[in-house]
Amino acid sequence: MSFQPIEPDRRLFFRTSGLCLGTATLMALLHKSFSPASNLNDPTRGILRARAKSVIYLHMIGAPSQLDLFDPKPELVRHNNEVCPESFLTGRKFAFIGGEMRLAGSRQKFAQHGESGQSMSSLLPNLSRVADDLCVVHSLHTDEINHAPAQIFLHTGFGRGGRPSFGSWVSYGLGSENENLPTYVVLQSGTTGGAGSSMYSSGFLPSIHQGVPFRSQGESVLYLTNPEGHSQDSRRRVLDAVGALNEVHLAEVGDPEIATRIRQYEMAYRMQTSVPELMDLKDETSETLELYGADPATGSFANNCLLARRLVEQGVRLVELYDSDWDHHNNLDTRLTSKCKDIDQAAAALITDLKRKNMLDDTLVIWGSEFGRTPLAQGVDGNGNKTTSGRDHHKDAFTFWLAGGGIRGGMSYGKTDEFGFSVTEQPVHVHDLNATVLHLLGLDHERLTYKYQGREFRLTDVAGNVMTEWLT
Amino acid sequence: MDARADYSQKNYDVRNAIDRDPKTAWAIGPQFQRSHWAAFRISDPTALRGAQRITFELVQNFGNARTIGRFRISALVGDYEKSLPFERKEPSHISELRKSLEVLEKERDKKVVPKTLVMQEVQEKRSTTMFSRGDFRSPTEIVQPSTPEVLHPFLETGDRNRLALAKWLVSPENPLVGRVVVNRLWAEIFGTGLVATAEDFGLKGDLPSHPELLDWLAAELVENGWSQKRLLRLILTSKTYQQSSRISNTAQERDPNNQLLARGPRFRLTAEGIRDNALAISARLSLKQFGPSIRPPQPDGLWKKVGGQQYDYVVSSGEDPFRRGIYVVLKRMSPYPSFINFDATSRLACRVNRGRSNTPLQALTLLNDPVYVDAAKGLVERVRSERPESSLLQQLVHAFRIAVIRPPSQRECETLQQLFESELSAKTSHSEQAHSEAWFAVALTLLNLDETITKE
Repeated sequence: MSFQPIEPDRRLFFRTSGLCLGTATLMALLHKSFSPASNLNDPTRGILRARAKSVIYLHMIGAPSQLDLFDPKPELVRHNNEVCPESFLTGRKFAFIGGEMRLAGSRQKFAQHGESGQSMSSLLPNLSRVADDLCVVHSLHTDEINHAPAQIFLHTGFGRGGRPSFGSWVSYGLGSENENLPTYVVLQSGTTGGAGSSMYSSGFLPSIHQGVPFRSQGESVLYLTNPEGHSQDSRRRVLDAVGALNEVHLAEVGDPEIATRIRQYEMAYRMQTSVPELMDLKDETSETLELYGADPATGSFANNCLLARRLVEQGVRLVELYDSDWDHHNNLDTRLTSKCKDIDQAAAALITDLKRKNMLDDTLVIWGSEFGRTPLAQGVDGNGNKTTSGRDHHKDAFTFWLAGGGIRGGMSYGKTDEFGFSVTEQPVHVHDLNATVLHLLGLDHERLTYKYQGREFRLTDVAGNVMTEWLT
Repeated sequence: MDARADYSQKNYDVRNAIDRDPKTAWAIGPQFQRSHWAAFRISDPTALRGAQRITFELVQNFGNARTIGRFRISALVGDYEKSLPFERKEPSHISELRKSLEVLEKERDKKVVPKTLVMQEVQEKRSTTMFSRGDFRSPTEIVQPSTPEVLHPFLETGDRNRLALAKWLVSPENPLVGRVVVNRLWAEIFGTGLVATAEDFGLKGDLPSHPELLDWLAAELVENGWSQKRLLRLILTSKTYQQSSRISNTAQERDPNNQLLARGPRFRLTAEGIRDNALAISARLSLKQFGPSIRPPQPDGLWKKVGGQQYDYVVSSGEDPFRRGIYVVLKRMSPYPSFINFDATSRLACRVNRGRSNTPLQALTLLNDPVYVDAAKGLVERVRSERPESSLLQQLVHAFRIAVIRPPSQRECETLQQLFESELSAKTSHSEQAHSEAWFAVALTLLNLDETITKE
């Protein structure tokens, strides 16, 4: 790969000088002097001033109901169980429901919270307490109506597999801050959801940029553990010998790749201690564990929130948490209540913890999902049997929240109609959200491109506007 | 009404066809794919007088594609029994042929035949249209297969099919295919093509570093009947290729990517190549060809959820796990993890250039992946069986030669010897076990050398 030899220099540069506009310009100059061909893929092209160093992305796999959590609709409650007026349905696609459509008002109690008066339902008692730190966006909309395509669309800006995830774009654009750890780490709670690994695939970008799942069972990173009977002392001696022999050969042939490999073997050795240490929550105080509701013995969302903070502390750029089982087509009230218990305390604790460690200013926290849920009732399970009411997939209006990392807290953005079918004010497309995430990390979504099969590709395709109103 | 048929399956008598009960039916299993007939006699023929329309309704409810083929219906009057093909026996030569066909089919079904997809032109060409604003719901003008007009002309006569396109591609007027083929082979050999963007020879691709050389090699290839073997020999026996890959300080400064070809190539092997190489060094490699994919050991749980599906991963048995990397199963989205660490792709997108990274995960793979751990053990066994009576030093030299195909220098020997001795002295006893473990450390070291996984 042609740009490979300059990688260490670029990384070194970022490590030593931080990110600023001057860096970008200077880097561009340096880059020119290194590469004779002008049209090579150049990740430094899109670098701006960064507001966030890292992102913690909380993805609720399956799509929680915004209408029962963040977007109260008194009119919907008033007209509960009435047949939905045709005018709301024309031209709209639903994944499952059909026939007679009935409006479904929320049975949750809403209240306004904090100085900002953000609306949240009683299912989120802890998040309500950090309402003034959140920018709640009620007007997200997407293009895809089913889980896997919508998840891939949210991550890659395209509804089918094959393009890089935003995390891979970030890794490509900014490189790593800690060479002992991957740039883009994925943590999962519950069964692996939806589109699986294509959500964090590097697509056509070099494989080094793909999201690396840290597993909650077995080795957290594949091949981290020494083979049976091979002690860490033996490993040290083997690495000393490998290093010495590589040094001899480096002196002989002079290829800088050998020098890099010598360093990578030392890093691998350090990772063997640093990663298990990082994944081990034992050195967290019991106060912190209680704050998150984390239990070191389980692979819960709460643990993952705490791990995410630890990873970000170590310089991981992007940590993505997937929490499964939010697809409530039926038994909405019971299932949503139980899922909110899984995440409410931990997500709020993450904000609180980052804040008290002075990390929230340069850590962007995002909570959301691939789409939202309908204002219409769905009461049939997969076998066609009647069940307690739920909601179908809804792509035209749903809620995300963002916090920290250059985002204005205590802000409500965007409005939906009286039933929550459509965005009426300040619509935000998935491309706009992605453009803004890149912007906060100091990347220009229009200039961060990669040439593949004869054309330049972007995360945001040919769309996307940075939502400047959200920024501090 | 009366019904009869040449054959009825047990419990599916032909009379069921007209009993007005949708749960019963006439069936002919297992005599599929043969001619059958059923005759229905109207109970009161006198009800039909003069010209009358008879509606015959046939309901096929089985649902698993067992529908009637070449269906024919006839109306008979009078002594219809004579017209029925009751007695029509199959001529003996046909029944004999049928019997031998059945035997052959049974034999065929017993054999496991590898299957693959083949392309065939459709008899009737489908019509292809332009779409207004790219929307497939708004077809406009019908278009014909052709090639860009700016290039050499497409066939004047004959069918404009895939064969015609293939002939157009390799016609003497088109130098591009030859150049692209040469460039890809060059990239295999030198690490980078003469055109660095092997996937793109268009306006946005790189210009060739040596255009005349590329052209000359392309001409050689075409003139020698597209013989890749000949081309490879030509390149591999050239002085350019046979240069030393040593990089001097000035060379590194002036031409870090070796675009000027002032030295021989030096680059890391591919993911598959590294595995094949390690298996060959350990004498574990199986060169068995063909057949279905193999499944080498990989960490548990990787196939638990692939694109919404769960798959079982059963490690291959016998020599299969030791076959070459090209036989390792390809599972889109859940590729073999050790290959991914060496820049193979998850096959979600087509990639010509894989890139060549250098990461700590690669070190961990070669040090700890059970496949490479086993390869190290294999190398120990190999050295012991090939040099059973030799001294330790001779054995170390032999192991080193196997790994990097050159004898070690004095210093390299000393390093290995020191490693062996310090490993041994760290053990509580000098048992056979301790000896093996010390040798394992040596073998693991050799498999992890930069030189071992690098072509130079």
